[in-house]
Amino acid sequence: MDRPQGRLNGRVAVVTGGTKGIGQGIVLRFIKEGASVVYCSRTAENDAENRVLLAAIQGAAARAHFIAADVGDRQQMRELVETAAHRFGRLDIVVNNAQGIAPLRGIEEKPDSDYAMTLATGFYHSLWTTQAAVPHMRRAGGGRIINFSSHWNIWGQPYSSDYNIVKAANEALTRSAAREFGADNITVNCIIPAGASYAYGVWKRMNPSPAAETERTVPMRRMGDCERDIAGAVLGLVSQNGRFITGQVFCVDGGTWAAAPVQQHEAGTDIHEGRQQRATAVA
Amino acid sequence: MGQIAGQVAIVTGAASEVAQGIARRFAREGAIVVLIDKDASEATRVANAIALSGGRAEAMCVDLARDGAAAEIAQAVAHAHGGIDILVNAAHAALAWMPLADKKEADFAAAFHDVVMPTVAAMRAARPHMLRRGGGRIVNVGSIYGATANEGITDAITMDGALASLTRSAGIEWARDNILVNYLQPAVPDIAVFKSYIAERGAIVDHLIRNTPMRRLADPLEDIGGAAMFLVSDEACFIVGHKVFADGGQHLVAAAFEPGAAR
Repeated sequence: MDRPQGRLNGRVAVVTGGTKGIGQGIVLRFIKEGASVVYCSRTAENDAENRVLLAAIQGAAARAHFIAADVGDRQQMRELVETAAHRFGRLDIVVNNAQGIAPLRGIEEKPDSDYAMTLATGFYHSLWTTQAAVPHMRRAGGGRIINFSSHWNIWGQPYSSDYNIVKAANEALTRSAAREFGADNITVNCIIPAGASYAYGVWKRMNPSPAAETERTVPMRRMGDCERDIAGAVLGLVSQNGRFITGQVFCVDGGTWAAAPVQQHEAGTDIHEGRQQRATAVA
Repeated sequence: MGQIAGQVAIVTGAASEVAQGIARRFAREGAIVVLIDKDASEATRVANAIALSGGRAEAMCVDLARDGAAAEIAQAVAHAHGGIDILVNAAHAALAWMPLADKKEADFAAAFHDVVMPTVAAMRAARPHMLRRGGGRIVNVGSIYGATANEGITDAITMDGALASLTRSAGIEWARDNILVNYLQPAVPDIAVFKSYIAERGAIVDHLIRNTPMRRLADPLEDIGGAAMFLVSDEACFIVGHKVFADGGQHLVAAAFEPGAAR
């Protein structure tokens, strides 16, 4: 990772789910590159680590603003966006990183409530922030929106049909928004990460051997570092370099998309909270 | 100071305005740029222009389709500048619009010989020098035409598919060495050649712009050069074998090139 180059000086960004893993990496990278960032997580306690990390970055205190919010709530997502626009006077960038995750269950067993929760915290939150942000971006003369998808959608990963469906919806939203807002100089792209996310970290601690096998299947032979690798690609797409790139889905995954599937799970496990881990080795 | 300050970049096919936009962008971000083309005059003109504006660039007149030419260039560049960090393969064959039934099989062989093989040769020639630097970046430049297909240019679309597959497979083979190979597909740029086309067939160009979500043609320096910068900078350090359109969303719009299908 190169030294910060002021690539986002004067820009204002919203990042959902900014206190752990990939979202945290994006918040830190944006702040270091000069942006002002409003980010959220479910509780104020979740922000404890960021407070320490941000205190070590010169000038960050005035440019970083945390809000406790439920990304599955329409009103709270609108308020998140409006807070950023009012507090910092403009809005240029929205990164829809957050995603609630339900326990892994087969399609026959998965309750409707899982689909509803996953859709609200993944797809709808991305839609709501987009709807709230676009008028501000138009006033700023353009903007950048980044959504998130997953390899699991491509691969039809078993036992996470709700999650896979939400990620497919995010990719479709990305393309539609790119076409609807292109004339406003707003680009919309989607990231499929293979990063050392919070959920991946939990899974790796519980399953060191499958995790090592997973990382051997990545052409770059490692999982992505959240701040250097995943946030790096997000930074490129939201900076000047990405000004004519829109409507695309980027696998920021060390080449995994072109090689082999990773992270084989079994039904009954809960990768988000780390309970009942019974994952098997990759075939 | 720049995003790729002090890095050594080779740009092939440098007579084209797309390649020149990329070369000028790299120079602006601090790279030492070597422009290569079999037509020396254009590459030299651009190298001089870059030097006049304070950048570092030089031109080399070489036909990369000649056996052994790529290795000679890589050796010469590495010797002169201490190594190679970036390779952009932007050489293209001229398009001859003609139905497949009328094209000669020799057209396909020529396209493979003039575009695909020089790319393979340049990648292989640059690799050992990149390994010595601990990694490198390779950008193979395709075309928006390869996003779907267009009638009349089966040979060019076939080469686009070959380059994309080459990029993907070299990408996963070389990723472990931190040599990242990716594929850039620029839209039709706003350039002199195209402007003369605009003068003759304005309705088609209007249609193209109307069907580009961002409502404009590509600027070679800012739009296409920017996307290339993304791929060779620290930003794309975990992206491998990937296609990137620098097209303002044009690849999404099936009707962009076909006036008859317009709404």
